[in-house]
Amino acid sequence: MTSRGSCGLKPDSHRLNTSWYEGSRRGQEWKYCPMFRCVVGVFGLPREVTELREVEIELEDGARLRDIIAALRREIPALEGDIICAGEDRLTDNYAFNINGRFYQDENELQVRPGDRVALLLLASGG
Amino acid sequence: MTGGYMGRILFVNLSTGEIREEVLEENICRDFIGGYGIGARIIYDRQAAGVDPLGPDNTLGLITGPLTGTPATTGTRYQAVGKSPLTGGWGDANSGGFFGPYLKFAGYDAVFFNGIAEKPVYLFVDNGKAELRDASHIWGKDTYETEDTLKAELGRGVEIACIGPASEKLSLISGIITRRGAAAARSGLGAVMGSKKLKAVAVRGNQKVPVADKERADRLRSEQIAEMRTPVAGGQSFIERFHKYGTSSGAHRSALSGDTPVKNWGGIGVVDFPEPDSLGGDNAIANLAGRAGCWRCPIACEGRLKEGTGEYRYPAGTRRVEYETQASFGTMCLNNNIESVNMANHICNSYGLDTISAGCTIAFAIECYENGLITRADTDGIEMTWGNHQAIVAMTEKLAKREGFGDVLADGVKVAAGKIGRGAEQYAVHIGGQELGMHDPKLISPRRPSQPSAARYQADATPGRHTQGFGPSGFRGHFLNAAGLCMMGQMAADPTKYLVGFMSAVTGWECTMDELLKAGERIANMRHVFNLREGINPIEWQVHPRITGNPPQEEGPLAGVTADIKAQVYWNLGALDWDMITAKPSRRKLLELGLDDIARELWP
Repeated sequence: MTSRGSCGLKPDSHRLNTSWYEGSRRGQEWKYCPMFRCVVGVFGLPREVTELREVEIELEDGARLRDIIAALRREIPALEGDIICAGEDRLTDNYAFNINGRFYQDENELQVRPGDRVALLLLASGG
Repeated sequence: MTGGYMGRILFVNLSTGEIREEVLEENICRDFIGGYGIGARIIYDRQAAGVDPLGPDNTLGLITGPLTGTPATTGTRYQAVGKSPLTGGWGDANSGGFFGPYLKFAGYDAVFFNGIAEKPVYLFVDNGKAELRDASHIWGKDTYETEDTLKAELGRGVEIACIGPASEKLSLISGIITRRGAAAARSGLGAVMGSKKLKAVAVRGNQKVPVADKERADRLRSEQIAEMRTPVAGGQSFIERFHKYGTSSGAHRSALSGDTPVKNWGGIGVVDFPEPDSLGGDNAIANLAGRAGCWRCPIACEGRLKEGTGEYRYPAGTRRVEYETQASFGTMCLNNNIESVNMANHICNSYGLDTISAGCTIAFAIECYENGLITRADTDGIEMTWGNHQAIVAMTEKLAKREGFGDVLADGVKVAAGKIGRGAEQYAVHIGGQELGMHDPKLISPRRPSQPSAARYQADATPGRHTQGFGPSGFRGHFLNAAGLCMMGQMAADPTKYLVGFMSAVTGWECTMDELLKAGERIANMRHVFNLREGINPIEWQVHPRITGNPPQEEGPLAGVTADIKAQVYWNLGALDWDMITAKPSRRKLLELGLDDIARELWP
């Protein structure tokens, strides 16, 4: 039953899916760049739109919430418009992330850590 | 008299048969708008504290707003008010349909009842004249038959508000019904009407509601309807979406997103009810015969079903379920059989029950059964298991008739838990005796932190309500309800333009939004001080731990979430200038709102 999407975080790099090291863009030096996997649970309308129950994203150490949104927007275009603002790394009004039991909509600089429980959901509906 | 008001109210003493007419003074209109605002002021002034809600001294009011029956878009509503037998405090309930406008066309803004009739009666208000008539021939009939009988007897142009057999038998979760299921359902006010042996109120008339500036009101209406017809997200307009599904498009979906409660508030949609699709969307309108609306409403969100042809033979014309009913008889009971939900809805509408409270009470009974607190010996042989749709329908019928185990359930979960004992209280999810609306308050928007979700369930004067507000974020809603507008319909509105515009155009007062919000605040205080005088402090109402997420759910969209209800309550108490312990509004606040007499009572 479980659908599982996967998307690398770096927009221009397919290497990042598996590598724990990356080349510095500016020079030839290699630096240590730890990565971690973050599973984003997808609930309600976002699940209907994406047909995914969860999305696995590879994140750099120190990644922010905006990095998750950017990765989702890039890899799952269906989210753009109704759920993620078109052309922006920002959720639209009625959507939020539940991260470890707290809701976040605008705190894009929030640092995400390994082991964080992250869910994307619609905040309200019904009548 | 100013526009929007007929300027007259009726007082009916059912014990003596006396019917008295009074002038509705402009100052009370300006201060309390209408609906439960005017209702709270009048009942507070004329009723002693501590009366028996089902006794002769409790006053029941049916009250319109100034925008009811006017060009104001969605101005269709009336409110029932009185002391609630379910909570022991202030009670109100809100309904659309045609009754509110027609009460005004009959010449009155409101009618209040006290006393108890010697035998069943109904009130007929016919174009400025009112009389009590014998209702023995309709006592015992369901709401459909009652309406049909009275309409046949009284002729064309009559609208009926009535009670069903559940209210006659004083079910504390019964309501007042118009047009086969438009229900003023909450607070148990159907039982108050039943206790008075008042079977129905029939209204007819051709009087015009005065409108100060009709041209302006008509122009605003046209502009608002055009906005409602403009496509928004997803390419559908507000009217298209609500006309097609009403409120029934979403329960199945929001059960999976954490909004709609599941399994008597104890479940997780994606875990316990992962396949809810058959409950909502196109499935909810599969047997639809046609659509209808409240008086002159451009949205027309109501649906009527064809006769049930399968296992459930509900009659043609049964209302399509609304969101709350889909949830209470569907997700709350782990029941994804939509036809059984349609049938339960029909039973509630015809017997005159609140579908929220009735469905929640069935879910409670199932949980008691599943945990061995009750057995088949208690339930008249009905196997009350999760998702057993035949059992859900059979027990709903018993509840409606107070038959067998249905009598245990007929007054809601709090009373039922007391009767069952054996620890049943742990499954009785209510606040102050009333079952909660079907939205999980753990969901709260970080962009709207001042709109308390859990605290509004606890601290509104009518606890457990999802349509009321608590704190400053609720003032607009109190005005909107009191004015006689539809909360759903006005979700599409620019509040400043349309609420201020319609009030100004209809009444002739040039209102500001600040004034209307201040009226909303005054209404919130008036309803609240009624409860204080009854000895009720909402801070002391217990909130079931499932409501706040204590302990939090371990999976799903609400994993880890615990609503900080104390923070919500105390922040809003501060914003309201109500005492943090006694919940008394400060003297300064009461004087600011012009409630000098209340200030003298509370701060002698």
